[in-house]
Amino acid sequence: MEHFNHFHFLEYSFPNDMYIYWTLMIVLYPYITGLVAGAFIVSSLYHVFGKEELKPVAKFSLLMAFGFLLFASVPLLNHLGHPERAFNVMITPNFTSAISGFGFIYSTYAILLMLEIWFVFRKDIILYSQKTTGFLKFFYTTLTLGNFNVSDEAMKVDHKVVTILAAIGIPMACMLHGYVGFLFGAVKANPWWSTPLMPVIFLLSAAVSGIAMLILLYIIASKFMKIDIHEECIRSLNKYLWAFLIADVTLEMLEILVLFYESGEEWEVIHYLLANELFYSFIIFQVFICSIIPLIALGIVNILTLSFRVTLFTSLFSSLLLIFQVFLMRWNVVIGGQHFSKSFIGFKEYHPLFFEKEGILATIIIFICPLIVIYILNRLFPNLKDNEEF
Amino acid sequence: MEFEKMNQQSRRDFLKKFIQGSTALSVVLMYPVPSFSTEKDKKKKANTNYVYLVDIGKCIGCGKCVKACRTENNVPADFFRTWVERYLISFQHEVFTDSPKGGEEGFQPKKIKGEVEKGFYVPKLCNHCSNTPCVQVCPVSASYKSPENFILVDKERCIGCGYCVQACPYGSRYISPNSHTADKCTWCYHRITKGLQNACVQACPREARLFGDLNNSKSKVSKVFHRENLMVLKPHLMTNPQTYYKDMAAEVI
Amino acid sequence: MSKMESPTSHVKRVFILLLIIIIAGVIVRSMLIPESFGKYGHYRGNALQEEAAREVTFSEQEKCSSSECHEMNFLIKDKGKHKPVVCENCHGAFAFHPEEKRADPNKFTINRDRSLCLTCHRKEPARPKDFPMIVELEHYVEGGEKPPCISCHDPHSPSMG
Repeated sequence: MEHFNHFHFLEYSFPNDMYIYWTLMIVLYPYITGLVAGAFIVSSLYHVFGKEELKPVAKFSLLMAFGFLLFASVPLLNHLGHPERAFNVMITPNFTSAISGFGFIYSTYAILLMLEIWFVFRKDIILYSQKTTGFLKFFYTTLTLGNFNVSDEAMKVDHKVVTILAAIGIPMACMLHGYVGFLFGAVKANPWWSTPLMPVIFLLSAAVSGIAMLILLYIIASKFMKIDIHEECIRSLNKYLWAFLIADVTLEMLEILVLFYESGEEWEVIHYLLANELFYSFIIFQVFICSIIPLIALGIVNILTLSFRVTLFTSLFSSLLLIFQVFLMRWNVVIGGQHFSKSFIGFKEYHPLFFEKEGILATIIIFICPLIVIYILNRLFPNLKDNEEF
Repeated sequence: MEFEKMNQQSRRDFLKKFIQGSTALSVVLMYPVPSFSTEKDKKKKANTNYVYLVDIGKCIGCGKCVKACRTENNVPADFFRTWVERYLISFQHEVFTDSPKGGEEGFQPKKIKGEVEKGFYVPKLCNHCSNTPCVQVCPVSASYKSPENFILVDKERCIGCGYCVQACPYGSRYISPNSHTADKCTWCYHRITKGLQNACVQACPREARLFGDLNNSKSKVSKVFHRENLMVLKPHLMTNPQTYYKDMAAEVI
Repeated sequence: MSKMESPTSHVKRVFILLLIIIIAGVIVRSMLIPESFGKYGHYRGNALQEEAAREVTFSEQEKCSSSECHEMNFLIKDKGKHKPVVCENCHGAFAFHPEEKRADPNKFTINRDRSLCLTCHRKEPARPKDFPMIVELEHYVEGGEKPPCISCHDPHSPSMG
């Protein structure tokens, strides 16, 4: 009990608190979910808010969101003690639990995303079903659902449906990720998690990581396919990335500041955390290296009109840092909240092993899988070249 | 004629099945509504009010309760459904706390900085909170509150996500390395329903642990409950624990 | 491609497909809900019975007293200071030991070590002051030898006065 300040407690952890129950997998899960939400936001900026400059990546970001969505639940499944019972979450849900929403929100969102992709690519699918042969022809023909209507009226209908779906998708994406933040923010037993700001911070950092990953993949894909990168598109993405980053970093810092200023009973343990277990991962890497540097770099390219080469380089460099920043943020939240015992006077370390079930290798594999899927999706539904416009 | 009859029969059967099916479907569609039917719930609530009292002043830290719990409930090594903490407080208000092996083998003498001004043992176990955060967060309804207000885990439904372990402010839960499901103190539900005492209560040679029904005026707990100076752990979290501590010092975490 | 096709026919088609999938999902889900779910509350009712049906292994000491085997020791304990100490605390939880002992007579040994007594009776600053405790080095030291406690105290009724 920290409110008896004149006591000096020596270290002690509850005997059941000697273990980190939520491992790297639970770091990866909100990270991948965040990438989904972030990529979707970009596509909605074009489809709903008509940001024409984002057109080159509007389709790509949808495929990216879908690729990551397919693997968002994999780390969770790998973490569960009984993955074979995972569907219990939809069979006998307990609606007072944040996780029980996952099954429903996740599947609804997956359906919505698939629908949107279908409508966006419908014309292409019909085109390919006529151009290709063999298995691919069968694949595309099945996807057309036997309807080959590409009349102007039908296209107008498609456009309308896409706008509606994208519009529904924005609150859905916010919910999908806001709920992940809620999952942590609503644990009153844990002072490092328990804050109403948590869902907002998760959402903003999701947007940051999603846009950063989109920039990175877009640049890589363009170089790889030897196509021109749209200058307006990158400049616009830079602006959005910067805006979300400012909001994200401000809220993250505000949270710490409020805790510090109040110096309530939580601060005792959080102060210790920040000075020890989280000193490098939070203060040095997340805040100083991965937040402040991109904040300044993006600020410079957004305020001054520099040459496109410099802008592109800064954008790539900042995106890379921000992809790490958000991963570190997930780490610092998930693992940071478990470094201390519920006694608040005992601490423990966490060093994931390379080969263990929920270790580093598993993390790398799970993270590479969606990238491969995104690559395949882009081969099946080419969208980055200019002559393949919707 | 015969054939027609049969045909009619099967048609009727089909109709019947169709109606049954559609009723079932509509029920199914309506199903995922959390039950707010208080009328029904009231019937299910048992007319009992079980509480667990811990008398800190009586505990000698022998750890027999921890041992009894482990044998009775097959608690995996290095995990605890109940444990005993030792507090040694020096004149300079330095608080030394430990619980070697959960206190199972008793406590060895410990030197602390300065003279021990005050010392005591605190047995800990699941608080079976009325307003419990662990049941609240269980996504699959595997953690539940029995009609007698025991907080239990359904090992057949638990997916082992560990959310309840995170949500418990007292460290009473763990993921069992044997069953890969959440595990915790059950207040020996299987013994209480058989009319026996909890294993830990029975093992305690000092009556430092008491368990009983407050609604039963003959029970020991009902005789002491309102007369003693009782406290609960982390009251500010509003979990409303049903495990009470007598004469608890401010240093207890 | 017929020109008569309505511009919204594909929309209808995909949403009908979606509806079929959802209905199929709902039906499958309804079949997977455990039968006793919701019987007592928002959980599987049979879980409660399963929990209640668990086997008791930490047996009642009354069983020791009613058996002919240990009646004598139990009566001594029942009159002495160790009355509140249940048999299992020192002898272990042997709910099924009559059967097991018959199978293997050497299976159970009695712990006569000093450390067993000292678990409770060693002087400790955290222990209540009214509890009988000894400082091991000061209590009965004769020629540096440490005889077992039970050479002076009857473990079933330890007071010597």
